[in-house]
Amino acid sequence: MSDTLKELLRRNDVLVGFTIILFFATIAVFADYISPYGYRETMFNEKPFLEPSMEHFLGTDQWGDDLFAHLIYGTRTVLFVALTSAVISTFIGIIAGLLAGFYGGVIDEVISRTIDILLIIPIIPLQIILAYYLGPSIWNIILVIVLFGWITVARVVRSQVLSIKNYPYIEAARSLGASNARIMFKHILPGVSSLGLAYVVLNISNAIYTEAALSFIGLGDPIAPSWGKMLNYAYTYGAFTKGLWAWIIVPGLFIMLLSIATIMVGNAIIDIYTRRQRMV
Amino acid sequence: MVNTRFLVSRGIILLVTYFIAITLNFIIPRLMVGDPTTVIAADLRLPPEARENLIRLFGLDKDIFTQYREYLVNTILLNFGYSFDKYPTTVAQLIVERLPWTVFLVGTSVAIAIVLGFILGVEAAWRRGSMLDNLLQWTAISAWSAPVFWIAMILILVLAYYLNIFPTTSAESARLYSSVFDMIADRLWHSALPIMTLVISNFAIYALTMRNAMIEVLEEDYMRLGEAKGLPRNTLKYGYAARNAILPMVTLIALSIATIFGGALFVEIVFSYPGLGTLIYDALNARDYPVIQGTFYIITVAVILANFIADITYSFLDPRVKY
Repeated sequence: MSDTLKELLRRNDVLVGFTIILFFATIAVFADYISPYGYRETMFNEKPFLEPSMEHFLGTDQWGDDLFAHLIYGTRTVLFVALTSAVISTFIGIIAGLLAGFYGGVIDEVISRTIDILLIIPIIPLQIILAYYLGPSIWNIILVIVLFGWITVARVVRSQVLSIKNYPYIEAARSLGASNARIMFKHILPGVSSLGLAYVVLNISNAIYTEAALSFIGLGDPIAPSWGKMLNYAYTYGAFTKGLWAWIIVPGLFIMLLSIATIMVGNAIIDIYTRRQRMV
Repeated sequence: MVNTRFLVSRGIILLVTYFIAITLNFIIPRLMVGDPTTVIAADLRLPPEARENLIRLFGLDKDIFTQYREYLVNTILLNFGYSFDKYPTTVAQLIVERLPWTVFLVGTSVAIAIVLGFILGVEAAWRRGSMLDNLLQWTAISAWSAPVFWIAMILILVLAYYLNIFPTTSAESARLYSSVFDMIADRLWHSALPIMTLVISNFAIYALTMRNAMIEVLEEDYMRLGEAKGLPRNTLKYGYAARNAILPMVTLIALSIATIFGGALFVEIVFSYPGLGTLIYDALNARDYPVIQGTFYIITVAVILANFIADITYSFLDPRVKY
């Protein structure tokens, strides 16, 4: 694991990715010191639709709320939703992939066919409907992301387990009388753990996207600030017909930057993993 | 030659998917808190006799299994009842009005994205490590990360607001057309930005897939043999390499249909384009439950059919395919 880390830190794309992620993490942690106003502090106290200025870096929204404050505090919501759902869906994906790959048979059939079906169903409309009927809240958004976030992880882990299963050291452990559970968690899981890490990172990018999309059509948490919600306001109140460019460009740029950073780091981990696999 | 075994087994999976999707469409609205007879059918916008009709149509006065059986029959007969918001228009009428717009939008953008992705992918692989190749990788990762509705908003801001080249919303001008050509030109002009948005958001991932598959084929011995034989470059590039590298792209197209449909919904919302996306968005805001249910059904059916078409194409392109 520490070897992987050393190898990762030697790559330029990873360093760039880490720096960007660190940038957003810093914003989330020190939001109170970075933003001159609290979220919704200037609401109804300031003129609506102000252009960017020294007082309001990104201008104000339809209620006179400071958009820069919304952006900064939105980082917290976005990171919380993305991290939580990425960790949970990767966890479920690894367990499903382990079970399917290790046991095969009926368990594999059920899990694999479920994955086949979920790959065909239009997930975005389904997520919209689920979020709509479950009601708008952060936890429902996380639930809706997790329900479909495990699929890719499960597929990849399953195929990895299928090949690891036949390695001699697994055979050796079995002949020593190790139980199924012990083999799975003690001997196979470490083999796919760096892959798991890669998918936590990659799932963050999916989660950011879904959270933004749901917030954009008004299904986000009604209280929490978020980048998708900023874009929802910008669209609903016609920011593009008023030429309020900062309101539109900056939140989307944040979504894109964070997503690119996670994809770069995630792909780098997978890259190192596959090169190691080839050497085995 | 079509591989019947492959198509039959894919057909079965698609059929199972269809039943699971419509079952979810039955269950999900019932997850909502509250009594369905009051929530789903007691909308004040409806006259009392329509409410009676709805309760009977959805069997809301009966037990859940009878409801499900009647729901299945109604769904297969495309009988989704009345729209709450636009009573007495039926949901089926609304969908028939909107579906062609979405199919046009998705169809055109997918076609353009595929052609563009194919050509760029082939050229990037042929010139591996060149500027074009590097640019393609960055475009792909950025296009994947940028929310499709954000791309739409930026195109409106730049091309419609600042440069005033394209209209900001809707799918046609509110005027009488002088001729059919006038109508076609006007509609194309209006759909230019929505199509552009979907192409930008999707072409790079096709290109990248094509590039990666192509690079593997270029390493094959028969490529070196072809070169040694002195075959023309284009025969080598398109006839030998691209022809053999196309399968991953076909798989990706099948897998991406659902995603592109989802993206199209958001693009339609931003441009107020009169397709299924705006239909479902307006229905969400108006609590028009029958329309939400009907639209989700039609999107699912469209995606499943598109998948089946992709499977047939696949088995034509690669007769070896097994399932």
